Amino acid sequence: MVTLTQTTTRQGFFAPGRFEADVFDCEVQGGKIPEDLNGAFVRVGGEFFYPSMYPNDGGFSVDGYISMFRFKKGIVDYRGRWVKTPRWKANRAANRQLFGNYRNPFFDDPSVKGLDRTVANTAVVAHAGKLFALKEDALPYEINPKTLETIGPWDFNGKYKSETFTAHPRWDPVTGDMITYGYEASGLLTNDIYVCVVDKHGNVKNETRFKAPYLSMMHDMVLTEKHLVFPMGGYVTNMKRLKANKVHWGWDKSAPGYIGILPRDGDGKDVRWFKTPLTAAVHVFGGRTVGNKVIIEAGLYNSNPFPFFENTDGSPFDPTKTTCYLHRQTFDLNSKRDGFEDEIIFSDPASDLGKIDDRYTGQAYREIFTTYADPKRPFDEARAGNLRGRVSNCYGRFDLGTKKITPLFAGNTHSLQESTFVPKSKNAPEGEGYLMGVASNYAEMRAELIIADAQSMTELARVILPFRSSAALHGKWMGDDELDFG
Amino acid sequence: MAGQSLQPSRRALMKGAAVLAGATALPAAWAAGAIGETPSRPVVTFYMDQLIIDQTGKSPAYRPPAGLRSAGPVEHLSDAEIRLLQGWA
Repeated sequence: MVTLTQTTTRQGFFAPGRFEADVFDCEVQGGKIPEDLNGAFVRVGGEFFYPSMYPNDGGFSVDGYISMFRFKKGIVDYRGRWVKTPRWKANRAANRQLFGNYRNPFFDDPSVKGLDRTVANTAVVAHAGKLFALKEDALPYEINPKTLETIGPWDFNGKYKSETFTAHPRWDPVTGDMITYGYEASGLLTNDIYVCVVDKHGNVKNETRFKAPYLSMMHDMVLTEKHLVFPMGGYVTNMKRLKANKVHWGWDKSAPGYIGILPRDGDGKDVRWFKTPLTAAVHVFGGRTVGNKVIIEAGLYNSNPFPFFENTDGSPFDPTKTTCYLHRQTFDLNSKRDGFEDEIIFSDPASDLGKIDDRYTGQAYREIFTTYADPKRPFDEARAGNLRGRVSNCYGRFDLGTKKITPLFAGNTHSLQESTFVPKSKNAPEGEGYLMGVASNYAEMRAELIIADAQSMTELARVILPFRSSAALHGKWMGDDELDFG
Repeated sequence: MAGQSLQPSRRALMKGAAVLAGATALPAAWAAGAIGETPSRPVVTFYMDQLIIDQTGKSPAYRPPAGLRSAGPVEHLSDAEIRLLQGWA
């Protein structure tokens, strides 16, 4: 029997969900589903199926839950399943949590020593006909796209030579290659980064290794036509931390930030590190190489945004100091010094959980889609709590040319999760297509999938789920030409 | 939380108040409509579309909609109890 902690942060809309679900022919409000949308919006996130073993564990340890909105000829079905990793199965067999803190194996229950600790809860990708749930502490977990049942870890026929695999690989839109990497590649507390190119058929065709200035979280990267760009810094770990039963990362305000730039036609010894003022770089939108300059755009926090990664100086996490702005950073590879240009390209804060049109990965692009909080929008506090100004209530199309934001307001009791962009056709101009993302409706206690025209940012239809769905971290549109969803 | 239980807080015992029942009660200032005040003690707040406990007390406290049993003030809890609360997810 499980007793779920009745804390003040896990009640109401935020209470555990715990179930798996199938909803066929979902209710649609406000319009019709475009019939040229055929594929699935697949997301992964999760929650603790069993409460954490230790109180200082956090959101990155929640059990993975994969879900999809399946679009077929104007009808949408929903399916949600736990990612049934060895960890999830072991916990279920024991009817309790057996695993300790985030990426710290030293205080697990002895019965699970040596078992894969991943929860595969961070991102989903499709490549070479396979669907994967990813977390950066382990190999990808293959998922059956028809059933969403878990198949198991995948090492690319033994050719992928890292113990870890990023949650954010990138694709070359010209070749179809997947460019991916793993940090802590040789195991816990190792400081090597493994970079790997997997061709469109799923075969490893190139790889290299290099070391970071120090071991730190490297959650995302930028792919340009000529370079890979790796932001890192601030997050630190060591054996002393782990032996003290702390979560893997702490935030060290005194640690420098770095940007590593690796030529795609080079190897590990060619990486160049630019030292940067410390910001928390978690996700990046994209970038390009122009001559000898590498330009990236990213949402950067002015401090650690994750409350469960404590400050190493002992000071409490302060959510009022974690604003995220959209930056453009330009690195001159001809320069002999560490310096680079850093510009905040929109004056208002916005989320780093944004997307570009993936067909423009590595090239010049004009549009970024992301969420933001518009405090001027209405919020029904009587029905949804006193969250005016604090919810992510708008999707925005951020035009890098005009510096204008075209908004889509989700509603006065809603908060938005990450969106995904779907091109209208393979040859459609940049940004012509659909934007979709899930809104939490705090008044109606349910999740709603918003489908919008990505150019005008007008809503076309809304798919209604009759329940709260677990918050997802990342999601991605996968067309019928990528995966067989049945 | 497996294998752990909340102990009555020092402050709650001193007040003779029911510990967890008090966690859902609104303080008088909120009931009077004083929204937006910045408490200086740990408070349940809303951050990145989740509820968390802000140990600095700088963030505005979250008030759930009427009728929902949800995040109340945590000032009656001891420091040890606050550490036991899941502040995320």
